[in-house]
Amino acid sequence: MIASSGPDQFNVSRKELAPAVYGVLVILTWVLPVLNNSGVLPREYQLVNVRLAKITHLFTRRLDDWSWFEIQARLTGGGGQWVTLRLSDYSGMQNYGYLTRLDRILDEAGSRERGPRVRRDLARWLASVHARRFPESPTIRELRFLRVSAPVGAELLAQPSGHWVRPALEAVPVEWVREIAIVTDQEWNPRASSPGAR
Amino acid sequence: MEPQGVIARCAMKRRFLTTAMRESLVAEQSVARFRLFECAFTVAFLLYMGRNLLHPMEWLTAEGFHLAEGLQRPGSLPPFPLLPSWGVPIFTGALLWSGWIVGFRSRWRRFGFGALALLALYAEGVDSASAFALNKIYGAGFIFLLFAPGYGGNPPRGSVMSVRVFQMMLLTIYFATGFTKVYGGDWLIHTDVVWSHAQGYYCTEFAAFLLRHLPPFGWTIVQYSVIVFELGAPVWFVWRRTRPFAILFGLSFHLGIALMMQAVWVFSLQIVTFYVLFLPEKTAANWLNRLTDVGRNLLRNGTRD
Repeated sequence: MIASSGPDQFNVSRKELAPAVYGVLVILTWVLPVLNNSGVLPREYQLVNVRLAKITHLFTRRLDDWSWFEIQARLTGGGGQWVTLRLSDYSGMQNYGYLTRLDRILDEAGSRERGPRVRRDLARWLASVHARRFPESPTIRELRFLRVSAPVGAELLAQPSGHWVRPALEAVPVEWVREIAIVTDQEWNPRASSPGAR
Repeated sequence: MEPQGVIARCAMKRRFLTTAMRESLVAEQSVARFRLFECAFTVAFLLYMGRNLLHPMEWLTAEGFHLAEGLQRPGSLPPFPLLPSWGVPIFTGALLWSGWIVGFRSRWRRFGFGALALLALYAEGVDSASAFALNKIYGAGFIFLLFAPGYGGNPPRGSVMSVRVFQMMLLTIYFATGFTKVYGGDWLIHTDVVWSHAQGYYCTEFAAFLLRHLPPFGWTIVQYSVIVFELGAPVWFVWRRTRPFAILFGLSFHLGIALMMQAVWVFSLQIVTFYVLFLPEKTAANWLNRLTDVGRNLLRNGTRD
């Protein structure tokens, strides 16, 4: 015994001390940070703010709409026509519902602060992958980022005939579609030829 | 009553309480359910990683698009270095080796947990686009398993604190998640929150069927029952009388999520592994014995082949 000042003291043997310390450490490094991040503990008493403890903000609000991104490309010699890219050609990892990892990254492309850089980096990457995977296809000269926002309750969402299938861009009402930005090859590759040469 | 009598009675009560606390928090007991949890949690992690490894190059190497530092979603870790192509088999091998150690070489399991903690943290940092809340739970879980009190024997005996810590981990997740829905979110303001989430790109065949046939009040019942379950989880799971109902409800809840939301089964599976910690110790010991026999037979047959 290491703490025995009287018969009714909470005596803890050495063997029991280590598990007790372990329990306290877990409370300090897990329970309190998680409760802090979820707002159970008032912010002013925030003892620890660990990034790894941000786990509880899942599906907390009613959704007004479901939104996803579409990317369209103008190709060399394409007569200025926008062609919708099939994102699954560039990302096979379907980990975001029925959408891909690339779709999840695209959420950042709509961010006001980070969006412009994300779109430029992504445009550069898409253009290079497109050239590598489809060597027969004309090169990408411009990319247009579109956000589709489908209101919940719309028949497509609320009365689906089966599991989610990404609707063709042409099939969704125009008022659901918003252009976020256009990125030209001048931005991702400043040495690219001038727009006039397209 | 004489003051000395009162003091003696207080002392007795105090002794009773401290003994009960000690018994339920730190005392040495059979911890078969903890050993079961270690295995289940590890298997669930390997399955999750296995799913990502169906596309290893996109996930772990420069072949996939990765966001540069400062461009990731807020709260993400700074991006970790990507693997070269030859690093992918090493990463996979390290996962399998760690899983093997935890499952079949329990004496060395701490090495396995150490490696799994590093791999989970790497998976969290290398690609924020494929990291979800469950990555964080795995990272923390393996770190806590690494430092958990030891056990030995058959059935394994050790401090019950190891069981309590992971039970507490689950109940914290439930309670905090319920709290954010009610106080940070709007689950008590609208009656169709679950209905709105059932639509969209997570919607499976099963969810589509429910959307077509479940009346609005059905969705509202689901919504309120989730809040009652999550916010009350510390009571439902701790109180012996409500525990079986909590387990049944929780299992149906997670099965429902897995069936209704595409790709979210990995999260359901992870959380359900914590449920073995609430099994009666005797049942857990039986399950563990059976699993050990299966493992031994597998090893024996494997060696013979």
